Amino acid sequence: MSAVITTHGLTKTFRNQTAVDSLDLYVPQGVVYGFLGPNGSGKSTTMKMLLGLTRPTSGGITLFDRPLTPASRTDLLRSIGSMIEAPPGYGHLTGLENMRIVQHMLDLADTQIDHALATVRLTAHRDKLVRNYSLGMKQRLGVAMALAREPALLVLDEPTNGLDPAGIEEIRTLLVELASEGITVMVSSHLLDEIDRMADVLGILSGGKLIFQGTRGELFEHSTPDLIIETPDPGAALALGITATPVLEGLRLSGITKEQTAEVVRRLAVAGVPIHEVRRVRQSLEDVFMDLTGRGGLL
Amino acid sequence: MTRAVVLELRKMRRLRTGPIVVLLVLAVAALSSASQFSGGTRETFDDPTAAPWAALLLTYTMMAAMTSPLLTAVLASRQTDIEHAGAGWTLAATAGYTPGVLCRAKVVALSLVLLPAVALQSLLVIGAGTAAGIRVPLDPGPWIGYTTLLFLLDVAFLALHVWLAATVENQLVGVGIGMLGAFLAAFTLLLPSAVSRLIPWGYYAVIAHAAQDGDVVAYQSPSYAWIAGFLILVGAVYAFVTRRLDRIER
Ligand SMILES: Nc1ncnc2c1ncn2[C@@H]1O[C@H](COP(=O)(O)OP(=O)(O)OP(=O)(O)O)[C@@H](O)[C@H]1O
Ligand SMILES: [Mg+2]
Repeated sequence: MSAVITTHGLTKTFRNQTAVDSLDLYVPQGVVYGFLGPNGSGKSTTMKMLLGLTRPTSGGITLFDRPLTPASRTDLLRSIGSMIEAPPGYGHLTGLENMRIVQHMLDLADTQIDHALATVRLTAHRDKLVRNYSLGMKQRLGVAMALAREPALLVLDEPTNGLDPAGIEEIRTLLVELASEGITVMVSSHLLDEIDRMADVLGILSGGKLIFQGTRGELFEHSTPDLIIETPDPGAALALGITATPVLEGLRLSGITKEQTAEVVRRLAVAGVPIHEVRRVRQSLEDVFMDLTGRGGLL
Repeated sequence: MTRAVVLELRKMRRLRTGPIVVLLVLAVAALSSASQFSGGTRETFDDPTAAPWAALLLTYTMMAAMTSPLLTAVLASRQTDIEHAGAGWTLAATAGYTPGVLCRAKVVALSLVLLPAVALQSLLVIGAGTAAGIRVPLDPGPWIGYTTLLFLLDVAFLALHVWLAATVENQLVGVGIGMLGAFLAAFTLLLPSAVSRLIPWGYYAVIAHAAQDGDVVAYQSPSYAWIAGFLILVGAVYAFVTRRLDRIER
């Protein structure tokens, strides 16, 4: 798979604070790339650098196999649709008039505008003033503005911000659909839950550092869920010197590998401790995420 | 650049820029000509030595000085604030229009609206004078000269206020400065021009083509060199600061 975005040691320092710290991003073509991180972790700053809106302090960016420079920027941006932080839109104009502004800026065809509005299902509301739009409609207009140029890459900063579950689901479906048409989508969020079901690849940012990059499956491999050993006699197990916390069903063991599990089970069996069940705690991606970002960004 | 200017004209829709300008033009023309219909003034209408046209131009200068700084501040602020409110800076930047380009285009677009308005304003004042019955022939030179310079000065202040509105997000600041400017502009009409030249808004007095000396009102030639110098300075500073705006990261 060829990469649409790659960065090398991408860093941004504001006065005395490093907002983005030596990122090596790799966004393959045609995927939905979920860019995750808690508030203030540097997601928006990174995306602004990818769009050439903010100059990196150090490091490099390659988009579509071309280095991003002030000279190549305008040309590269033609094939990148984006929405950073607040969705754009002039409140005193209608949705359609806003789209016409984008059309005129980029010299687009009428059909491209109509298609973008239809894609986000705003056609029926296109003659309403944007100041009277609901938050969800404003977000969708922002996405339509990003889509109008028929981009090969879509960079969306928290497009689901402030949406209700139905609105989030709608955006999710839309982005997955776009990716299936071959468009690469990079979408940020501070809520894993929102991204979980649409992202093929995840990049997790914490304190400006990329602490994980890979598929959902790879993320799970990085974490070891707790082990539950159901036994009516936890006292006997603890007497064997096994480090565990007694819980309702028996014992809970943290951070032990498959090999260690086998060893513990063997010792319990040899000692004649009754074992009713041995299982891993079902862990949501959210737990993994909290685990990663909460632990100060260490893997 | 042409495209950017057309974009600004498109954004102007529903900003009520047109109605605001028309309203102010009518107000200035009406206030300038109001005294023409009073008894005392009417006696001077047949008397070339009383210079009724110069007197009218002086009243007009006063009214324009009192209103233009505020008008330019309001127009510039309305046209620029929409970019803050609608995340327009970023939208434009991702389409290749930097903030500096946007600001320059805004000044051009607003000037295009102001040009016919200022011309119409002068014509209305002249029309009112004729309607009131001024019989002395009109000397067009000072009127054309004043109207041209008034327009150019308005452009300069549009530039100042667009830059201000883009840099300071709170639009009360720009409009407040415009109000202060209106006061200064009217006040400097009473000051010697050596002082007016040192105050930016004083140039609304410096461009006066008529002056009062005791009881006598007469046409006068303003100091074109100072005015040209001021306009060139504003142009150069604007070119510089809008280029700097391009490098500001939001
Ligand atoms: N222009 C700026 N000047 C100074 N510091 C900045 C600037 N922009 C961002 N920062 C700082 O950089 C850090 C990262 O900010 P950024 O907006 O990229 O975070 P984020 O991940 O997008 O957060 P959120 O989820 O809240 O949107 C923050 O600590 C922020 O204060
Ligand atoms: Mg952000």
